[in-house]
Amino acid sequence: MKYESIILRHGKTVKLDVALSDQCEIVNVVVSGDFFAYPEDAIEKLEDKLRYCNSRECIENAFEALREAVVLGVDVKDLENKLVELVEKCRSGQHPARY
Amino acid sequence: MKLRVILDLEGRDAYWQMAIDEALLQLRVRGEVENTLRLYRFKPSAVTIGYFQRVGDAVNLEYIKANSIDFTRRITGGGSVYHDTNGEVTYSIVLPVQGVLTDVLESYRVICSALVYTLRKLGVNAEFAPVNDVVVSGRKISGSAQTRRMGVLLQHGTLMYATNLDVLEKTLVAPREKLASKGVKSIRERVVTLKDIIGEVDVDLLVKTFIEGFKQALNAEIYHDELSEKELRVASELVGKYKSPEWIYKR
Repeated sequence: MKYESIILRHGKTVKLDVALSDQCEIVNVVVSGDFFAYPEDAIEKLEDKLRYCNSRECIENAFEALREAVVLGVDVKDLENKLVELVEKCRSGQHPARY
Repeated sequence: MKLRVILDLEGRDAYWQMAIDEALLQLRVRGEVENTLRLYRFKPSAVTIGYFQRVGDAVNLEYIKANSIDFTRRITGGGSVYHDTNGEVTYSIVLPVQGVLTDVLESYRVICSALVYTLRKLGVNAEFAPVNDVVVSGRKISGSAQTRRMGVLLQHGTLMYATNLDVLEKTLVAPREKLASKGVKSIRERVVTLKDIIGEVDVDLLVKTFIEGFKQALNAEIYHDELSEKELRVASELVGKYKSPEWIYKR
């Protein structure tokens, strides 16, 4: 198991704590920070959908959970891209980048 | 609109204050209370963290535990806050999501204009700093946070008139990146109180002006009231949640 954290700042701070399996599958992810999301449970739905993802397609699909949500202080696309990058680097055998 | 005002300034602990705010939201959703503004204090002083924050990233747990400072998680997003019994008036307001309050960002601006009005009346050149702050010369004097449920919004926030900023700095953790983005090195440099700017504060005048600020911001007709038995009963059912490790350490 590998544990990685991604911290991004887009007005507010958002942190992704990610646990990746040896097969580079997202085992657990927690999205935290001082941002706002309406409704709040959209973030929890995103976390649920990201579990067991190990591909760009799966991650992009998970982020659909935020399509109808209003998220303030977070660049959601940047967040999605950084997570894709993390998983793809893991799959290519590179040590995941630290942000 | 008519706006019911509750002055609840004797003070209650953080668990009760958060429970009452949630109770007012629930009851407003059910149409069992009117639009309500409540002004209150945290007694004893306490820390609240935002809904999405992790405790270890937001507060100095070692200091808080060593000093027996109450802390809990809010149902609203945003950052961690130190609520000083003798230095902060806190507000909460429940309103229907309609008209200018429909757009989230605009609703923050409208409600925070009550704080801007209050501070300007007291001779301070305050301004709204989106998303959720009111600042004086770039330094934060008030922060607010909002949640929405089924067509009703709850917004609560602070007005620091004499908060002990040394204790505030010891209780809270701010990411270095966040401070750097504000051009400061410490939380202490980032915040300011009314007392720092105008000297001793007449709290009665502050409260009176604050209510006038909401009246202006919402074009509201004010009437005074007290918390009802029903509100306190619903709140009493929620207090346990705010005290529970399951809720506090939810993330």
